[in-house]
Amino acid sequence: MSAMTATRGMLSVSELTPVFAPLNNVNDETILIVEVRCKDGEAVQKEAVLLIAETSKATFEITAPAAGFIRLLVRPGQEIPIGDALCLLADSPDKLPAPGAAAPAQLPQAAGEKTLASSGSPPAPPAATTVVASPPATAEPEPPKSRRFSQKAKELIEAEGLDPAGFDKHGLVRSGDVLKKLGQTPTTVLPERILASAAAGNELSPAVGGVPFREVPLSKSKRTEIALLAEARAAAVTSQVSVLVPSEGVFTACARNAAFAGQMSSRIIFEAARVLRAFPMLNAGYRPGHSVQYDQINIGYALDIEHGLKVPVIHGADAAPLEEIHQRKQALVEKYLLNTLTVDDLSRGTFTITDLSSEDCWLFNPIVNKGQAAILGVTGEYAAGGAKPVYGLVLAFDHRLAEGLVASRFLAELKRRLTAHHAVLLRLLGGESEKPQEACCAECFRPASEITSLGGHLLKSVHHDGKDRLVCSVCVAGH
Amino acid sequence: MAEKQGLAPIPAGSPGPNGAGPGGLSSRSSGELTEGQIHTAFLIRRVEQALLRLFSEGRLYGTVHTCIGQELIGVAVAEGLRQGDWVFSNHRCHGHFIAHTDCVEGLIAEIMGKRTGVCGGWGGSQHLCEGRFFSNGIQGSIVPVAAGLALGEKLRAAGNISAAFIGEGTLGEGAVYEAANIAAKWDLPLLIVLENNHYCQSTAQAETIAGDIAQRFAALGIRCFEADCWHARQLFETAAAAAEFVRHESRPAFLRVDTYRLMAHSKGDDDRDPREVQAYWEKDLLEQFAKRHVATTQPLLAEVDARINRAVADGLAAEDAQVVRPGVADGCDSVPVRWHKATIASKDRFSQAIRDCFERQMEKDPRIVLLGEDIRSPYGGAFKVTKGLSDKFPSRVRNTPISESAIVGLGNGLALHGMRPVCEIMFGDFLTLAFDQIANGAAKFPGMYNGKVQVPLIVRTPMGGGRGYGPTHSQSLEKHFLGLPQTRVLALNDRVHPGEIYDRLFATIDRMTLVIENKLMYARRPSGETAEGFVLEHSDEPFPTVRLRPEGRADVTVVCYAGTLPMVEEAALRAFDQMEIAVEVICPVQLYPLNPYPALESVARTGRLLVVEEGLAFAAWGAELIARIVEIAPGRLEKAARRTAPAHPIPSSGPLEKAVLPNVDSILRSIAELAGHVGDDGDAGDAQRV
Repeated sequence: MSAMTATRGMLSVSELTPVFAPLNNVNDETILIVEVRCKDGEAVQKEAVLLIAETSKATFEITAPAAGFIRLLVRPGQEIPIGDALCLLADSPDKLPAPGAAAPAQLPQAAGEKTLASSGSPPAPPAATTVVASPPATAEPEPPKSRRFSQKAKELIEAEGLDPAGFDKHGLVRSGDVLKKLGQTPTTVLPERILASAAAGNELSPAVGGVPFREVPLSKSKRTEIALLAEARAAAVTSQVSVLVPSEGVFTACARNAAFAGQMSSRIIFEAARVLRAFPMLNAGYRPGHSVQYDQINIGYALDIEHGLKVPVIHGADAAPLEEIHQRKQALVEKYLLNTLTVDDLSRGTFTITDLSSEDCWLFNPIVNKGQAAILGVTGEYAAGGAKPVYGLVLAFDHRLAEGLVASRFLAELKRRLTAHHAVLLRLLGGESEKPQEACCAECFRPASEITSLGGHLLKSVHHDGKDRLVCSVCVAGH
Repeated sequence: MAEKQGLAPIPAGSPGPNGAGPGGLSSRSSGELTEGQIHTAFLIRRVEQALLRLFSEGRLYGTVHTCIGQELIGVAVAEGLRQGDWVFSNHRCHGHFIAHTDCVEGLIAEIMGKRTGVCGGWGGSQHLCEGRFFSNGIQGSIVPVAAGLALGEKLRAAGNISAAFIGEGTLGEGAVYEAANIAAKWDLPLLIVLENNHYCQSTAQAETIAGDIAQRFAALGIRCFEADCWHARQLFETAAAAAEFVRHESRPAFLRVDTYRLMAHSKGDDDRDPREVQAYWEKDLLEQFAKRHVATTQPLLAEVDARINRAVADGLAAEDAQVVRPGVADGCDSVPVRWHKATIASKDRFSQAIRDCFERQMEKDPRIVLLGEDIRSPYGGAFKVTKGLSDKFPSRVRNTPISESAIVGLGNGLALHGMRPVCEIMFGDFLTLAFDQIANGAAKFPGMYNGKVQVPLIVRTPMGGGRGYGPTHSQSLEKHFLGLPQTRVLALNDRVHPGEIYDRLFATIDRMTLVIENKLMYARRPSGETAEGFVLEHSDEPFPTVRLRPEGRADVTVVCYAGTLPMVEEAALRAFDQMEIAVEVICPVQLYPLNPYPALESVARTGRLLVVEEGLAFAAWGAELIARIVEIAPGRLEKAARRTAPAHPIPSSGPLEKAVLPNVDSILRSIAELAGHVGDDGDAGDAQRV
């Protein structure tokens, strides 16, 4: 006890600097300590890497904010709430508290402040509430002193733009309480709905009566993914439109030639980004009563190849030339496979493409990501008994932000543009002259006739190597 | 020592190996025994003959095991003992009792079931208690208890000894050897008297006893003495020498006395050859004395008989035993409690907190003795609860052999002696080995001795799974120990500081108390921290009940105890966050006697009750709780469920173990199912269903 009191005294900041678990991703409440790179008690330089931590999205380094002697408060494998102290730095070793004397949970205030400041959301319950001795009292129907929102209540408050502070000292706040505040009658929750909602949230094991089962814990990233998707899905009013695109076998052909692997995906990103410029309502997010239209087109590209679902982002995709998009996309895939994606790589997506063209899949139902209006799905190539091969483009969208007509127009435009790429790719694959007879765009390789038919034109531009080349108006300006 | 292995009963008509020779109670040798000795021996015989008569007249309850033919042993041993010595006898105890206490009137009234009996009619023939004399109808288990009394003497250095009487049939019971081993190892002043009457009820010794009797004890380094009932002087001298050895050397001794039971084992169950029995009647020293010294014997018998007749007459006139004594009901009354906000001062781990409490208490109270396996330094117990305590209290923290029956038996003896023993059973699963000492000893002594004794004994043990220890080290067997008379069962939980519980226990202990600890809990820290939206409270009971009360309407009551509380709390939070079901958690420390009030009070508001426990469901604590609630408040409980372990051994495999024991998911499922049967009725819920 005495050691702990002493520690508390010393924590008065000037002598000891705590290093807190940083918030790298608004959706994370904790970080996982992966590795400890420093020794307890040793002297560290400013910026020295102290810990490697993992969020639901990526691993990152935690560095020393100043030079000093270190007292570690965490171990590898621990999951630490955002804002809790990870270690303490002191300018001399004798100012450090005894090992084990100060645990992260003893800094509830700091934790609360951090969370509040960085996320703007209501402060999380303090990690620890020190129980202060109080005289015994008979406390029958004592008025509530705290508040706790159910998940549903939280969502309602957010959706309706209510101030959570209005529920202070309400004790347990259910969705019915929020509805009451809104002047609505709470609907009766039938038992089926209670159970169904529990099942939908995967909160209850989906055990079928009488069937033996095993419970396999999901990884942290998978749990985050579930939470995000469920949250987005619960809030959005989703709808879906799809088109068939004659492919002339382009996917199959690309797959056969390693040099062309991933080419179609890159072209889809390239074209989708440009088409989005004309459809701002699909590059948007929903806030109650508002469509928040983003001023950047950042295309998230969903990857799920043995390392869990991650969505690295190609920022400013509508302004990047095709070759750059291809290179950036391939680089992100590589980082995904090496598990070196950074938080930045994974942040700020405004639209998502999920490309299952390499799979033998037909018809699927992409889920719109949180904070976005739509997601584009690309199906595998399909040829029914002798028919010409086709593939599908599926646009799932939040009906609060767009309508079926908008979505189908978006797809029609995208289809038209992609068709041109098929011809180019097949020509290149077929070993035809690298330089087509007809003048064509140096970026997208579409011939002048096609550009014209799209209502565009070829522009002469100077390449960075000083040479002239032709680039189409679509590649330059997006239309 | 004479070789007496496999001694066969004397054939009818033969003089027998030790025939009444110069050592007999003959006229020539009558000077060898005092008048008092002869008087007591006849008194015992005439009392038992009177009892047999009363039995056939239907004036006694139960049966009577007489020691007719064996009386001199009791008289001889009683002479070797002093005031202050302890005696623990068996079912055939009248002779020992009279020789030691001379309380003929109390004995007769007792067996007649009268209030004036030595145990108010509650004990009867086999369960007597007067001063430092006890008897019990369970055979082998009296030896560990007698050893515990001897340990008490040793620790207090009072110079008294403890004597245990057994028959040779008892040599088949392991508890005898567990106790003898410890007595030898610890040099306890314990005299084990074996009355070798050659029959175990109806079975001849040759059928059941292997090898040599004395060598069993000699092998443990116990000094052996031998005598028989047909050489009176040698018997008295040997008994005196054995008692003196035990007292002087402060070491155990074994005294074997060959004898013959002249009457049936009990009543009407004598299948021995009548000629054999007759031969021993003729050899019997009292018979011979009476025949040869008619002039001496007749007035003696007349005097004895007059006393017995008076005692019988008084007994007949006395009131029957009181039907219900205060405090003897099951004590499980519904007692209202008041709640206050929980405060938990320390942040130590459970193992450390318990240890520190023991250290504090042992400094204060020299009567506290810790017994158990591997509890001394450097090991400090399998879960380190006694770490370092033997350094500070070397004689009061004792490592025992693997002898669970003897550990608790010693505890019983120490408790009867007035000490404050604390027995550690390394794993709760091993408690089965001590069941007899708990159920037939600790739980019965106070009642069957009519409140003359208390058994302030603590038995503590970890229960529960979660560590992959498998079928024999992971169980929660406490239900088998619930409901025993005059006992208490406590279960530690994460929300009450264990030091608070043990401090209270040491301050108030008046009965055998089983404390259920938890393997996983030892490494955790008791905590008063709670999540937003819930208030943590303690009741004002001596051993507080924990209540985690939602701030607002509660929908479901979940009652649990011991190590399941953290899981239940997590389920409670998730039930609200995810399903908007508000759960009120009730977690008592005291499982027995059971106060159903805290659960009942909550159920009155919610109507729905889930009981979570780690043990098997059938006839478990939760079943009892639900029964009580329904008995006390019919109609309050709309729906109840229990979440327990299936009737299957606990698997060792981690995933399997997790699947069979209650876990957060399964608890949450049960909560959802319970809540599902009553809709969310908004305001109506606040209006309470009380």
